[in-house]
Amino acid sequence: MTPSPANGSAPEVSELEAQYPNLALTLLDSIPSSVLILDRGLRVALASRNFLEKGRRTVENTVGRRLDEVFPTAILNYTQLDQRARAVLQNGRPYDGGKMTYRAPGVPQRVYYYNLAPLRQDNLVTGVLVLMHDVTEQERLAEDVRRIERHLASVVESANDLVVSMEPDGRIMTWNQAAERVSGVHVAEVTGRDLADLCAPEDQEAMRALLRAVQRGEPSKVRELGLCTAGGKTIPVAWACSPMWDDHGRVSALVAVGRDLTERRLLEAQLFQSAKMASLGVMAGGIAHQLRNPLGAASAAAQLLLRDPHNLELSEQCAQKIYEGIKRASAIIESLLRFARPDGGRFGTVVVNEIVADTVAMMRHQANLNTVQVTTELAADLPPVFADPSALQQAFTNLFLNACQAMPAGGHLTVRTQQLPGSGQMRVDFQDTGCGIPAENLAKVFDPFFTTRPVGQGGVGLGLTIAYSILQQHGGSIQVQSTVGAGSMFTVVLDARLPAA
Amino acid sequence: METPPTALVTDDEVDLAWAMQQTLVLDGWRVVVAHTGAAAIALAAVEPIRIAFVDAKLPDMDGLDVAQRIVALQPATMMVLISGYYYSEDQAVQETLRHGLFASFISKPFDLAEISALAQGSLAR
Repeated sequence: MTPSPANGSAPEVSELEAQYPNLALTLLDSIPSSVLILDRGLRVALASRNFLEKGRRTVENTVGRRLDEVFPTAILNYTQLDQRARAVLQNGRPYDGGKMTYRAPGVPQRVYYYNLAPLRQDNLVTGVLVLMHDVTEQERLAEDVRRIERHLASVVESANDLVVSMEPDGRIMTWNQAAERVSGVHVAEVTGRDLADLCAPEDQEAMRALLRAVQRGEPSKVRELGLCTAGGKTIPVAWACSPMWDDHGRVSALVAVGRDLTERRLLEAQLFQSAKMASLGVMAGGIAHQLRNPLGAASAAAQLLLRDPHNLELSEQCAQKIYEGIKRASAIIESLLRFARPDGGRFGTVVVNEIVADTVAMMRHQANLNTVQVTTELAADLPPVFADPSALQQAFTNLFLNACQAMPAGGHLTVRTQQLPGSGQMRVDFQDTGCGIPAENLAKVFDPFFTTRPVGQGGVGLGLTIAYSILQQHGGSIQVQSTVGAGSMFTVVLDARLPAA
Repeated sequence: METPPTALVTDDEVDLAWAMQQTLVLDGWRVVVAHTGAAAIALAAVEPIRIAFVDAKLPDMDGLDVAQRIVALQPATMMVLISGYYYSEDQAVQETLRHGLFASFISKPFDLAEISALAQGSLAR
């Protein structure tokens, strides 16, 4: 124990000194600090071994010397050590805290923290104790810490993704530059606010639920939720949220990383449109043939009418058949136009059975070419769904085509709609009697560019991917069951609930 | 009065089959109509058919198979293949014509006058 001057009691120290005569000097030389004692003339009366070693000095060129003979002039000018020591001698108050950078000849620069304390004899200040602590290492560590902090901060700031950190209750603490750029909202405007409140109105509850789950430390999946911008738009963002844990295993903060999906959505839309045009190409032959039938019937009826115009009963029948043929041809053209329309997320109330019927009508020629018999089993009284009809037809068309391609030697395709009781959902099955999918490929059929057909024979492997993606955008799902040699069944599940008006 | 000869019209396109039927009736034929392959074969089993018009793609069977079955029942029947899918230069069509299964081929759409002319021709065989 080293009694400090402030609370040390004289009798104890003198007892110790009596017992250990060299205590003071031993202490001076043992502590890892440099110690100088200056006399009233500011000459060095005593220098600890540590001081001499660090300064590469000897007792001879130090003890009895003035401060300006011991320290370089530049350091004295900078620290004003002599003036401060003189002040301590005069007013008897210690000087606490100053930093000194000192480089002794031949050694790297060190940083010292020093303080000055008056030494008294009978209430008279007779000397100044100079204590110098080498804080070079601490300084270096502190600088390292600051540099790492700056680096981490700039990693977060320069990230292309939105990085938001929150209190465990969801109030925003940090909001990086990407978040500012995407949202157009400055960090000062969001600090302390709830991230959920910045989401699109229809997504706020989902964000709250997501953050609550993260607060409980539950694993969470990436969610696509809209973020409101300063300009009043909604940006699609994929959010991945995670908790930050403290040393006691408690959630100390929440982190949300969001990716702006705007560009991806644009690319997807382009991909959809080109895939749609590609399937239109496949369908074009079928559409022509489909038009040929009603036009042929109308034409034949007209020829018959011309041949025997005075047969009233026949004329009437002919006119009726001409009219029906034209109506059927118009219906085919209408459904073609509905399909070809570029989709801009035109969601509305949609009757799934109609979309299925349209799809089957457009694809029947393709089925005929593959000698595939098509049966539809459409459940009556299906509730309407909230969907983009053009996208949904695209998905069904891709599933239809996929089924036809799975039956190169012909077969049977059943398209079935069904309500799932009690779940508010419906399913649409595309069941084929084709080659089936081996178990090892089942997980891959929805992957982009996965195809088992040779290059140049049909698709590029995007049909099922696009169907999958469309169903995801509809909040639905798509699954496949398959038995090699017996056939496959793709099942689409759609939510039949309409959004609140 | 002589019994008129019988023609068989086989097409799943109901209105087109009707127009062919009316044309042949106006020409003085007795006409039986089938919309499926099975119905056509059943008619050929009971009716003496002079000429049969068969669509290449029927909902239940391939038109070529139907024609073969009819010829097996009535070798003297004149077979005419109708199709919206094939063209007269298609290899499959050329094959069937060369093998003598079909005497003629009509691609849709066609003039009803062609039907009349072909039916008339079958009477001279």
